[in-house]
Amino acid sequence: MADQKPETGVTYKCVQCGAIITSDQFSLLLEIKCPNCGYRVLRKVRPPIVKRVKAV
Amino acid sequence: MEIKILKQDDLHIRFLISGIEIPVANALRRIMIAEVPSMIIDDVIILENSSPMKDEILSHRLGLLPLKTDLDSYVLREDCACNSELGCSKCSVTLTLEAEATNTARSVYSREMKSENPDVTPVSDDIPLLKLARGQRIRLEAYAKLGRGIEHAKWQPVSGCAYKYAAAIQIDPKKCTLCKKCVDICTKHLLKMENNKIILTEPLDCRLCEECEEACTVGAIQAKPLKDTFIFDVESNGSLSPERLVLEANKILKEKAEEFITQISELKEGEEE
Repeated sequence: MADQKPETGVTYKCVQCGAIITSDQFSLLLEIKCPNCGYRVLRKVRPPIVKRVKAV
Repeated sequence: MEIKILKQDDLHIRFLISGIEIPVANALRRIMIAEVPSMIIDDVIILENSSPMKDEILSHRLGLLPLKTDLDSYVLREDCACNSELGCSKCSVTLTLEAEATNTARSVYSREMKSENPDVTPVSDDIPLLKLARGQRIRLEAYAKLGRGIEHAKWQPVSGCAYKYAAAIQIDPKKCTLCKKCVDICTKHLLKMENNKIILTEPLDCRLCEECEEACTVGAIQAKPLKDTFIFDVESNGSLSPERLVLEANKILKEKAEEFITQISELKEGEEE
């Protein structure tokens, strides 16, 4: 069977210890908490999307 | 028509032009500002930006960076046969920037922009682009193209372009009482007494404020503009040499006039048919 939830590529980073949490790990968490240090504030990491911007 | 260069250096030219009327002088000024092309970054591809500066703000800053322009090797995007969005080697120049603050926070300067054409680089090396804190990175590709000030002010190749009438100061020796009121009142100290006569030292510096005329009680001095003589002051931003700027403006004015004549003749022919 195909994956129910495809890999989104969205990652989070703990503000305190800097540990990276992938979207898969994130969806498995019962509460929003860093698995490494337990800090409850996570930051969304900018995705590696190439952006084209007009210089105006 | 006569042209005389009064002062010239890398960025600035001052010249006297006589034998033209004010609409022609104004046309040259407007073309120098808005229609002489220059090379400026127009599209930016952001590969990575972990700095606090937003992509759009950084791109806007890159668009305002003056770049040395080679008008002979490139064509305007609309005239290029490539029809591609980001241009080709004939109408576009690619510049890249890759910077990281490894040990300490630092500023990223325009000298770090790398161009595929060494003749098309930022005019100044010391323009700060953005600041990076430790660990932050920036990676981007910027595409510069030729454009005109009329589309966006970033393409203006001048930082100053103005003209003024040349002055003609006439002193009537029969009426002059040598009271020296005009000499004292001239704010630029252009008048002086020599051999029992009032003479003008630098006619081209006269601002035509007419203070000397007002100060004179007998009407011996007259400050009038020369209606067909202008002093042009052109300062380039570094993208083109000031001489090249003036020559290009002249070329564009000529092309416009020729186009106008062609169109009028075609209209006339259409009517006759």
